[in-house]
Amino acid sequence: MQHSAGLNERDRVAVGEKLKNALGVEKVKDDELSKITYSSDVSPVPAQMPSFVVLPENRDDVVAVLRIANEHKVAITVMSGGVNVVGTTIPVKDGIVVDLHRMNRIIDINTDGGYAVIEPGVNFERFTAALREKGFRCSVPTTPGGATPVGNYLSRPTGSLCNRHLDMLLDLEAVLPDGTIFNTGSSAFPNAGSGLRYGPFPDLAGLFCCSYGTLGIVTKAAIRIYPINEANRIVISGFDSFSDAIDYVQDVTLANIAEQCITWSWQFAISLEVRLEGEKYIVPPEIKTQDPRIPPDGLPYDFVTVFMSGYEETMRTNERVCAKIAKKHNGRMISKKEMKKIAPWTLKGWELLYQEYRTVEPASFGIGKYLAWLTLTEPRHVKEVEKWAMDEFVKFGTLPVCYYTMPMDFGRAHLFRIFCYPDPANDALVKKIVDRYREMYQIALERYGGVPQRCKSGFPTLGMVGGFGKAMNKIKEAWDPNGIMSPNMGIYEGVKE
Amino acid sequence: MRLSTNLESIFGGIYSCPRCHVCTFGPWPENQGFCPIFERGQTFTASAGGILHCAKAVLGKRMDYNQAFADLAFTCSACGACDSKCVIPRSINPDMGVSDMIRLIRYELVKRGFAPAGPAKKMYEAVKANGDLSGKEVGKAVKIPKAVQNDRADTLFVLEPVRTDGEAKSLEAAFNLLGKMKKKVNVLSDAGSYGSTLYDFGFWDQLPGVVENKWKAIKSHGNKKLLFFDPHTQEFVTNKYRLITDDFSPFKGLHFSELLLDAFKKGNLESKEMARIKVSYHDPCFLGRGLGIYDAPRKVLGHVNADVVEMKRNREQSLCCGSRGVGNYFENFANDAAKARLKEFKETKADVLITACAYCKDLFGEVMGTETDRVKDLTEFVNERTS
Repeated sequence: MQHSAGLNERDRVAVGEKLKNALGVEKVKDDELSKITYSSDVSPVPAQMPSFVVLPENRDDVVAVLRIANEHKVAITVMSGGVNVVGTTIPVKDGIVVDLHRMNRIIDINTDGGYAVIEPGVNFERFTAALREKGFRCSVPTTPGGATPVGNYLSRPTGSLCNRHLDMLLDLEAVLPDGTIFNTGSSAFPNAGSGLRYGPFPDLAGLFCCSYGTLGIVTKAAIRIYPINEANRIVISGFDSFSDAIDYVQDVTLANIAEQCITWSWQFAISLEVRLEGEKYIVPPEIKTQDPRIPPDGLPYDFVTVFMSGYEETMRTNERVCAKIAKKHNGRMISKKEMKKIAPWTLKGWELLYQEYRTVEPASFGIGKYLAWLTLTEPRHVKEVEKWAMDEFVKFGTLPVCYYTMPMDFGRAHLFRIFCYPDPANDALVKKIVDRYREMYQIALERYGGVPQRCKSGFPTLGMVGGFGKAMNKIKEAWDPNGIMSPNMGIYEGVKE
Repeated sequence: MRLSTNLESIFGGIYSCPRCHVCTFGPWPENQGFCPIFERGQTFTASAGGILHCAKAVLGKRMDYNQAFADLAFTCSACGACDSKCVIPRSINPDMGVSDMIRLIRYELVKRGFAPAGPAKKMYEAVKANGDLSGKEVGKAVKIPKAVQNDRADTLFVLEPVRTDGEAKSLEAAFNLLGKMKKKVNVLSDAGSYGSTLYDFGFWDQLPGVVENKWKAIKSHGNKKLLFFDPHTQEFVTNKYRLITDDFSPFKGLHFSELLLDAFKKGNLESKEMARIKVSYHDPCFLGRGLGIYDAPRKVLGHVNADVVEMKRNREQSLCCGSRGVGNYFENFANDAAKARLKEFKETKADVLITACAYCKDLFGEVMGTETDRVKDLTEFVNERTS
C-alpha cells in the first residue's frame, strides 16, 4: 500500500499556492508559529512539523484541500477539537493539518426524531447547551468542553450513555480523498432525514468509527440525542474490594436500572477533575504518597456511581434496589452529604456530567503527564485485569495510580482504564511507561482476551486481525489509493496479502 | 520573591495544555468567545494555549525564542479571560494562572531582547536605560487638591502617575466626588509605577526593587484602608505583591466604585434631578475578572438615574478592550479589538459607554472618533449627575 509523505521544497510552493487560491490566504497558514502549535498534543507521541495548517469553513473547502493533497500525494492529518491524549492528531512531517474547528454549525436539533445534525467543529460545551435549551441531552464523556462530539464519537469512546448505546453516531456526511461526497445513513435518500443509521445497504458509518482519519473527512454528522427526564439520581456506594464492586455493577446493569454505572478507584474518586466556582483546586496530597492498593481509613477501595433518570417514583424505587444489591455484595451506600465531605470537587463533577449533562474541566491534567492504558474484557476477566494492572502500575513508582471501569452495551464487556501521571519532564520514565504499555496490551490479549480499545500510533494494527485486516486494507486502497489520509497512524501495518 | 521566574519552573503547566480551547470561550451555557486574540485569529495558534505550545516547543528545543513568538505573546492583552476557565496550571501552582505563564514567557523573551516594535520596544528601551519605566507609561505626578488631602485620614488613596489627558479628567472627577462626599483621604502619589506594567510586559528584573519600595511607602502610613482608582494597580498590589515582597501583610482595599456606592448608601452623595439615561457598562478586565468587582459600578449607575443595558458579553464574560495588546502578531490588533467591543455597545442602543479603567476609556474614546464624548469613566459620569 502506498503511504504519502510530507512535501519537498518544490512541491511545497506549488501546493501552498493552490491551497491559497482555492481557500483564500486567511485559511492557509504556513508561518512557523502556526506549524509549531499544530505539531504536538498532550500525548507522548513525538511532535512533527507540518508544512501547512488549513482551516476550512465549509465542505467545499474540505473537498478542495483533499483534491490538492491527493494530486500531490501529500499526507493529511485531520482534527476537529484538537483535544487528544493518544497522538492521533500529530501530523506527518511536512504534511498538511486540516483543523475543522471553524466548521461549527449546529444545523438541526430534531426533537421529534431524537437526533441532531452538527458540523465537526461544534464542541461539547456548545452542543450540550443548545440541547439543554430544547430539553435534550447527549452522551457526555470525561473530556474537556472544547472536545467535539463528532471527533469524540468517531473514536467510539466511553461516555455517560455507553452502557446502553455503544455508538452515538447515526448518519455521516463524508468526503473521500478524490473529492467524492456521500452520506452513510438515511439522508443518502432524497427527502429522508438523518435519523437512521441502518438502511437497506451496508453500514459505512461504522467504517469511519475508529479509522482515525485514515479513510476520509467527516463534514457533518447526525448524533443520537435523548430527552431530559423528569428526575435523575446519582447513587453512590462504596466497596472494600474490586471484585464486590464489579459484582454489584453487573447486577445493577442487568437489572436495567443504570444509564451508566462506573467504578472509580479511591484515588481517582478523590481527584476527579473539576473546579468549584470561586475556589482553587488543589490535588489532595495523600494521593501522591499512599499505595493505591490500600485506601486510607474510612475510604472504600472503590466507589461505584449509578446514574439513572426517569420518573421520580421510579428513581425512588431504583435507589432502594441499588441499596439492596449493594448490601448483597458487601457494599454500603454513601450519601451525597458524606461524599461532599470526602471530595466535594468530585461530587460536583459527577453532578455536572450526569445530572446537568455537560462536561467538566480537566484539572487533573495538572497532576502530571496523563498516560492511560485501557482494555475491554468480558466481565469474568475484569477482576483479574484490575489486580494485575494495579501491581504493574505500582512498579512504575509514580503516584497516584487511578482507574475507572464501566460496563459497555449492558455489561457484555467492561472497559478498564488505568492511568498514572509521571513528571512530564522525565522523558525516560514516560518512555519506559509507554513501552511497558505495549507489552501489557499483548499480555492482556493473551491472558484475558482483553481487546485494546484505542489506537496509539503503531498499536494495535490491522496486521493482528488476519482476514479483517486484509479486508480493511482493500477498502483503504480503494478509497485512498495514494495513502494521503493519516499515514502515520500505523493501523494498516503488518497486513499480509 | 516567590514568583516563578524561568520557563523550566512552569514546565508542568506548559506540558499539560491539552489544546482543548476552553481558554477561548466563556462559561456554559453561553460559551461566548472571550479571548480577544482567538476572536481575531480563529486558530489555535492565536490563543493562550497556542502561546503555551510555542513555549513547549522552546522547552523541547524545537524552536528558539524569536521575534514572531514575542509578537504573538505580546499581542495577548493578558485580560485574564483564560484564567477564569482553564484550571490546569493553577492545580499545579495556585499562583500561576495561564496569563501569569504568558507574562513569564514575555520575561524570558524580554531578557533575550525580543520586545515587539512599538510601545513594547519603547518600554524596553526605557527600562534598559533607567532601570524603570519612564515617559508616557509612567506619566505625570497627580495634582492633589488641598480640599481632600488629610495626612491623618484613615484611607490611603493609592494613585499611579497620570499618563493621559483622559485619565487626568477622570481623576479630577474623582477628586470632585471626594469633595462632594466630604471625604478626606491621604493621597499617596509619588513618582514611578506600582509595578503592574512591569509585570505585565515582562520587565521582571526590575520588579522586586519597585515593589519593595512601594510597599514600604504604603506601610509607612500605618495600617490604613487602601483606596484604588486604577484596577491594574489594585489587582497587582492585591494579588501579586505577596509573591514579590516577603514583608507583605494583608490589607483592606477598596476600589473607587465601591467607595461611591457606600457614599450613596449612607446618603453622603446625592444625584441631581436629571432625566433617565441609557448607559452600558464595560467591565474592565482587572476590576472584573481580576478583582471580582462587577456589582458596585452597576449599582452606582442605578443611583444616578441611569439604566444599564448590558452588552452581549458582560461581567465574567466581558470582552477585553484590547489596549494592553502591544505585539504585532496582528495588524491594528488593539484598535480592532476595541472596535469589536464598541460594535456590541452600539447594539445596546445605549447613549453612553461607561467604564472604570483609563486604558479602556482612552482606547474606546480614540476609536469612537467624533463620538468620543459617548465614552466616560464612571467617576466623570457620576460627577456630572451628582450635586
